[in-house]
Amino acid sequence: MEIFQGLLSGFAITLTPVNLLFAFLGCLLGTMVGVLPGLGPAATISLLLPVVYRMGSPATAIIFLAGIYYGAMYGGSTTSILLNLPGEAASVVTAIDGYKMAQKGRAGAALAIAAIGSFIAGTLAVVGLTLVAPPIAEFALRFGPPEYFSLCLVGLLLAVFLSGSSPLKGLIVLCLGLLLASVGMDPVTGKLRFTFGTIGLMGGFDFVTLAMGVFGLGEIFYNLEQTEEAQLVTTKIGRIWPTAADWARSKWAILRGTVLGFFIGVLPGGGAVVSSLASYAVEKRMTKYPEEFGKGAIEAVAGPESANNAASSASFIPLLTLGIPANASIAVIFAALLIQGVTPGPFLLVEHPDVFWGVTASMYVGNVMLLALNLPLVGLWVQLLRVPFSILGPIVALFTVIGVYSTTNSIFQVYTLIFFGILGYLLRKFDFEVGPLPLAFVLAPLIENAARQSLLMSGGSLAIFVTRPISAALLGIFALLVLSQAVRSLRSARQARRQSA
Amino acid sequence: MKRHNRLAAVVIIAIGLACVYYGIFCLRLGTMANPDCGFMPALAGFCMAVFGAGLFITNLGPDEKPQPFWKGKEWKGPVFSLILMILYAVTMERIGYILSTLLFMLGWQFLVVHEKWWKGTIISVLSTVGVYIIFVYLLRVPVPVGSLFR
Repeated sequence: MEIFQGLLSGFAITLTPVNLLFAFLGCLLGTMVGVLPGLGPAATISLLLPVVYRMGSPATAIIFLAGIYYGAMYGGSTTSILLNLPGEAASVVTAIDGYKMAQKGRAGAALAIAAIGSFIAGTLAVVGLTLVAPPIAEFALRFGPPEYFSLCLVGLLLAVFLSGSSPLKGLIVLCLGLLLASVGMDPVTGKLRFTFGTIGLMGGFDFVTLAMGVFGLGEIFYNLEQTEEAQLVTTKIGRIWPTAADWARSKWAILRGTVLGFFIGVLPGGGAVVSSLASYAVEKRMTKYPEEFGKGAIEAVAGPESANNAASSASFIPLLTLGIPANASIAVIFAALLIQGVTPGPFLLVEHPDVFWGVTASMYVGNVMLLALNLPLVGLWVQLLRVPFSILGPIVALFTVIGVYSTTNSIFQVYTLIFFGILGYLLRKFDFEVGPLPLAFVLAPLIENAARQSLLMSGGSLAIFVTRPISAALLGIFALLVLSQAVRSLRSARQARRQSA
Repeated sequence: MKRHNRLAAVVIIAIGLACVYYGIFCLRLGTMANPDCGFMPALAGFCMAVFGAGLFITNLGPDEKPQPFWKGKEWKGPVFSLILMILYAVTMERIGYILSTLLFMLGWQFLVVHEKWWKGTIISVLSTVGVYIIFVYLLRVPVPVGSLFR
């Protein structure tokens, strides 16, 4: 009953003209960035953080940013299907069979099933969020510093193992994030760290600057290496509504994708990319038409598209209930909440029910908006690809500079932005996954304070982490993760040795 | 890629060890019962150095697919845009937002993306004015007027 009442109050917040407008703008922008390759939701949300400073209500700000995040999942499928050009990493697998369908003149059916699957999955995942989040938040109220320390450790490790190809590189990026976050004043003793007499560094690095540099500028620098011209759209969309046979083949794929996406989305690092890949693998195993896989099987579009949308909604659960961002985009939303003076975590539901229920309700509305935006306007979205990078690139660069300058009125922050841009570029160039960097940066103060408080509580004994049941259970998961990763690495090394021999 | 990874690993180990040194000798580690401000940097630096060493070891041996850092003229886009960004930041407070942005955009159009002169000029002028309208008029962001024009 409490949940139902909360949801009703959430709808009352969402359905105000201002919030509806921002939910719509978020979905619109999200679809746009989903369509455009080279600019992901994390980059877009970080570019808009300076705008968040000027928004009066935290609920409005998060409704807007959340719309961008889940909207990008819808938009990503359009260019994957029509042009074999995934606008978003989560839509890479959609391109395999979606594009083949388009080549056979069935682009309309692929686009429709992607949009409808996304809608069903997105809506069901929000129902899951509505039901699951409040009890988790209540449970998390029992957490003390040792539990938070262990939880952050598990979260960060999962983020590394699930998001990147090389766990070692992911762990290095994590450490880098922790080190970057320790620049400035120590929160406990007030002593300065890594400032080397620079006044601009005394307050530490600003998350907005880091996110804009690593995701915005870094991505632009990296994309400038490629000199490919935008393709002209020639694919015929054909009949939009799927046939009865398409429905029969897709309905279970959508449901499986939803369930899989929801559970993977809740895990830190799980996000949309992993869930779409997992769903593709599941559908490949479950299909009655294995010969069609890779040649235009509709369930290979329906499953992954449903999974990535379910995951994007579910990834709000750890943020809103535990204060742990599940992926880079959610880490930027975490920062937006902090900018608005709201601390995400178990107290969010008690202290800011308007934010919690407002965002949750906005996702129901947003999914309907996205369905309406994506199906009828598909032709328009594809035309966006005609915008050349010669316009898009420098404008995004301008936005990052002015955006960063506007938050502090200091040119020092612009230099910091350029530094982070170079860092983001080098990380991509050396094939490091950038996702764990903002996660570690955001969680670093929490980890450091929790570790130091725990040691203070126990008089220096590390046993505090294993004698408290929740912390011990989390550390058990941590140990299992490390062990399984070590076994997997050993196996692949042995296999590689055998192959070379 | 192995050569690049080894190079990255050496830099990472150096940064990690420097952080350990800084955490222990320039800051203070404290005790287990009361960790001080050097605790986290030293710990993170140590882990980074260890993982860096792991990266180095796993990338030993001959490079089966050797790749140059930049293929052909790939370097031009990122390097020129980076130089433009630095010049933009340096000049912004001196010559003001409008002029510096216009010069930055023109530089980008002609040096980075090699746009036709008329198209590049139109894009530069329109984007400078557009971003000015969004940030200064709509969002009320104070932008530098330029010390030379004060």
